Amino acid sequence: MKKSKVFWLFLLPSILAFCLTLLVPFILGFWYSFTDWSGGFSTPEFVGLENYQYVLSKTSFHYALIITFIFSILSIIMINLVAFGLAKIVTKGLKLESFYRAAFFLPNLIGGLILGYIWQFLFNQVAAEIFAISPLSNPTVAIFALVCVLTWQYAGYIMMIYVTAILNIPQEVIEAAKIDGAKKMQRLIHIELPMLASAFTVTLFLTLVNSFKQFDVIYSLTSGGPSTTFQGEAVMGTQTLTMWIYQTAYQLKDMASSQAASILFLFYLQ
Amino acid sequence: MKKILSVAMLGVLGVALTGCGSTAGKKDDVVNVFNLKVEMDPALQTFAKTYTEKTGTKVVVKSVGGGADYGAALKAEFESGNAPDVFVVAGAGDVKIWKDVLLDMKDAKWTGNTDKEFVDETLGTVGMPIGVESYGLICDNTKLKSAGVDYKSVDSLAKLEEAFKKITAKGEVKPVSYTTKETWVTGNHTINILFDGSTKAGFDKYMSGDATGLKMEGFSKLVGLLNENSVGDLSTTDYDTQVANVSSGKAACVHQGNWATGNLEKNGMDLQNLVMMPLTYNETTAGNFPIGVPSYMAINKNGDTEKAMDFLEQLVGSAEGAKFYTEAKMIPAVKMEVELTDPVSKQIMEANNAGKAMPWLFTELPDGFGMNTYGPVFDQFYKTKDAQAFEKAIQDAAAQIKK
Repeated sequence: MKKSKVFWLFLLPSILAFCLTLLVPFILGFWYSFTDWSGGFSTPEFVGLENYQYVLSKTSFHYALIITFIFSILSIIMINLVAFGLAKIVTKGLKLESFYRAAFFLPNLIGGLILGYIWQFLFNQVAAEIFAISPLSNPTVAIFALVCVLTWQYAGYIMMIYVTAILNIPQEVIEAAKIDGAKKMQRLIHIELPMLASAFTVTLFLTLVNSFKQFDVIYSLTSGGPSTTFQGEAVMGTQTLTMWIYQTAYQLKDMASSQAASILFLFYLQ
Repeated sequence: MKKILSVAMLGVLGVALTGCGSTAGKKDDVVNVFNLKVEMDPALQTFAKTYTEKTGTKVVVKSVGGGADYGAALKAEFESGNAPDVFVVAGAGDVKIWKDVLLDMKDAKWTGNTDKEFVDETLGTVGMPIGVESYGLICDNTKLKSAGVDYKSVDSLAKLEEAFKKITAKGEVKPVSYTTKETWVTGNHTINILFDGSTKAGFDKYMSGDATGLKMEGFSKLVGLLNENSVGDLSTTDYDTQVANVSSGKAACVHQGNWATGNLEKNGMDLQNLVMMPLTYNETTAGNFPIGVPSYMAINKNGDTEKAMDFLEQLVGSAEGAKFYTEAKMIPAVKMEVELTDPVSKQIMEANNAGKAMPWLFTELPDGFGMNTYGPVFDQFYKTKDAQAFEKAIQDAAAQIKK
């Protein structure tokens, strides 16, 4: 295949952006995870697998791993259930349908940090008044609180994907099923859900990645707190992997170990 | 051929991109100051102006602060070819990062007037202390007075307990606003009282992994006292809430430092009504304030060192410098005549001069170690009230201190 000069010229900005912002940092980061890099001027020295050993020996990292999985599974289920429910509602042919769609989608447009601080206020001031204790004070409840906020933010986006998919189901099939006497539930399980399979692939993937990578909402909402005990050690109750990486890098100033954890994170995500 | 061409073009573009940053040149007659504390920026700008009028040396002050990542900004500044001559380092961690550019200031005029300079074993005197800060219980004195508590008399755990009882009995306000959410309060400041109470020798022993150096007796009682007499849910109380609790009249005192007085004033409180009570739990800590230096001025040894040196000497050794401290509401770490207006600052300066000061030993812990390790431990103690587990967790942490 012969590519013209112009072809490459047009591709150049994207290639350059890709290299500078993704490829180079990734390769550098991979290398740094095997060194004692501190982020300063000093030349990093090769230390082998020391950082990985350190990361894997930390109780707080084990906890972060587990809590990330729990958090992700919970939010994948919640987001998809809510999003699918909303999608069903807004494709029923209600009046003001597009208004509802826009309204459900709106939270997704608010930045994660702002959203986090708004909900922090709601939880710590308003909910604390009603329930006499803030949901963010108990680590187990705090995880559910995070899942709720994430669902509130993200369900609208996933809903839009479901809406498109539902509208693409040919009406003939549904009608045929109706004539054959299929009930509402039967139609949903045997006709609609199989026809939505491709949408599920997309939404499951999106929610999976999004929940695992979730950082800004957790950072602004709980910053990893409140505490809990794990294997006899006090740890941060909502410190997910991303929070762990951030805190190791910027609080412990342990860039190299943090980088090693990021590589492990990538590995787990695969 | 075309492939080679395109690769070459990539290369050219790359060179062009990096080329912009490498025009490093030496500037004459300008002292570049890179400042981390944005709150002292106006006062520093004023000082720089008067300094220029006096000496003819131009000073450019650039301030970065708040939540900004100072380390990254400073690094960018160095790499931009406009390297600062004077910049701020926060402590041992920063000194390690910047060790290649730090100047030994052992001959500076101010070294004789302070014992708080940053001395590194191999690099020498690399940091000039900008100012001192202290923490304890910042209290609304009107609330103390109405409960019949004299803040000056509170210098032991028993007296603190009694004072809390009096405030509770009066019933107007809760005695204190504490937090276990802000892990820098618990994991740096509160734990430091324990380190100070264990003396430097005991702390060094702890740092080397031997927890028997710690004098635990009474410490969990002090923390328990704070936990139980505090307003609100400590796990969700952040700094702003702490401050608001005092200014809105929910609590008489707050476990914070002199930096909080500015926020309290902004919330409408009169600085003259604010006083500080010490946090103590044994004889070693009785009536003493933990006084420390949060950040230091350092000089870039590749810059204009002579002028930078003079600038810093003037800052802590002239009438204009004294004015800077008054205006910035900071307490100098170098002995000089400074007019301080608020009682808390005066208290700290007096304590410092009278030798009623304890060091900030927590700064010797690895970066972030205190917040990450003790933070959750304090929160657990607040929730479970299990003093034994609390003490054990602190002792066990000795093994985790990574050198």
